[in-house]
Amino acid sequence: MNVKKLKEAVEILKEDLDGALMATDIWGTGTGTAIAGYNQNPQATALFEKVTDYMRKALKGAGFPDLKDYYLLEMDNNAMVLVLQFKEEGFQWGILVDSSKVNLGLLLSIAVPDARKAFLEAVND
Amino acid sequence: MWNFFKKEQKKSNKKKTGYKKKSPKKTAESKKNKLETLTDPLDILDKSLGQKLKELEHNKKLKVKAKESETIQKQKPVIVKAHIDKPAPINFTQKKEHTSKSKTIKQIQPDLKVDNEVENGRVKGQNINLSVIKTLFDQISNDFDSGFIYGSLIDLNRDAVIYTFLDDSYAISELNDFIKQTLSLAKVDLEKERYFLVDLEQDKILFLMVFKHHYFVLLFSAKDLVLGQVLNILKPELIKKYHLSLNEI
Repeated sequence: MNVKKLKEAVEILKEDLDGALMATDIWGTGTGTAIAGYNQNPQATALFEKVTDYMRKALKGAGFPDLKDYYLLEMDNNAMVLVLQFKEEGFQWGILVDSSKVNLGLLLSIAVPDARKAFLEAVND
Repeated sequence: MWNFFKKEQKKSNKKKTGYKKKSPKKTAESKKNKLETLTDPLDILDKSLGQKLKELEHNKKLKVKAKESETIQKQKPVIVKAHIDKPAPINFTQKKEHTSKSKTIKQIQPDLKVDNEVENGRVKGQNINLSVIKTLFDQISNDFDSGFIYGSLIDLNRDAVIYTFLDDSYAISELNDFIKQTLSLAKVDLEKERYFLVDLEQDKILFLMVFKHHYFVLLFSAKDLVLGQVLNILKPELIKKYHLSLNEI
């Protein structure tokens, strides 16, 4: 993994979201420990590692298809959590945004694809 | 003796002549015809040929009829194909209405308690107006057409299905636990409604709209889904209709 490119991926996300990014963490699935981020919050990382795990089990138990690329959760105070999945690589990327400052179209159509591309480049380098 | 014979002969002659007098020409003609029909080989040949010709003609007609029926039979699939190519417009609402079940959920959702006894169109003990919810699901079905795969309204606190749209085999109680655990972990306040949007494998999107006591489970096909429609049009409509179903008398 190229750490420099990993940091660049976070910077790209920050730039795309233009002030709407509150915090972000990239962590290893199963370990819950972050490898990069901005305004990092280890508690949030551990929490969303658990949430993803619950979700996977719930979806499987309910008979729904497995989780694919992301899930989105609306929180208090205009906060929105987007958790990107990198199943093959074994990582997750949690993104906390202020939904009053960014629209979902920009988040899902521009910021996320850019960040995903940059992260995969860092991982595969 | 002779005289007698003569008299007898005369009598027989009289009888004969009497007989002849009745239809002399007819007898002669019929005899002649009989002879001709019996004896003339050309005529026999002619007749047998005629017979054969008639038979051949008859067979020909039969064959033509058989061919006609064959061609009709061959044409049948074409007609069917034409129907397949141009199907009648499907009324999804009507089709789905037929499969919508609110009273037989026990068969569909065996893992959840059924707590939706209906009294005067409302769910007993919960005061939810089912007709409002039903209309809401019909509207979603119309708006999203075949992209809308499954939907249900669940009682979060009692783990009970209020209403389900389309038969399915999803064990929704698993989602109940997940929602409760997640909201508790994230300390999310449910005084205001919240949503989960989950990108699933097999090109599906799961949308969970969570209220204080209930939540909607909506499964869509991601292929034709525009997320903006879900969040900007569907979400406000769900909130509006849910509150309407609680308040409308």
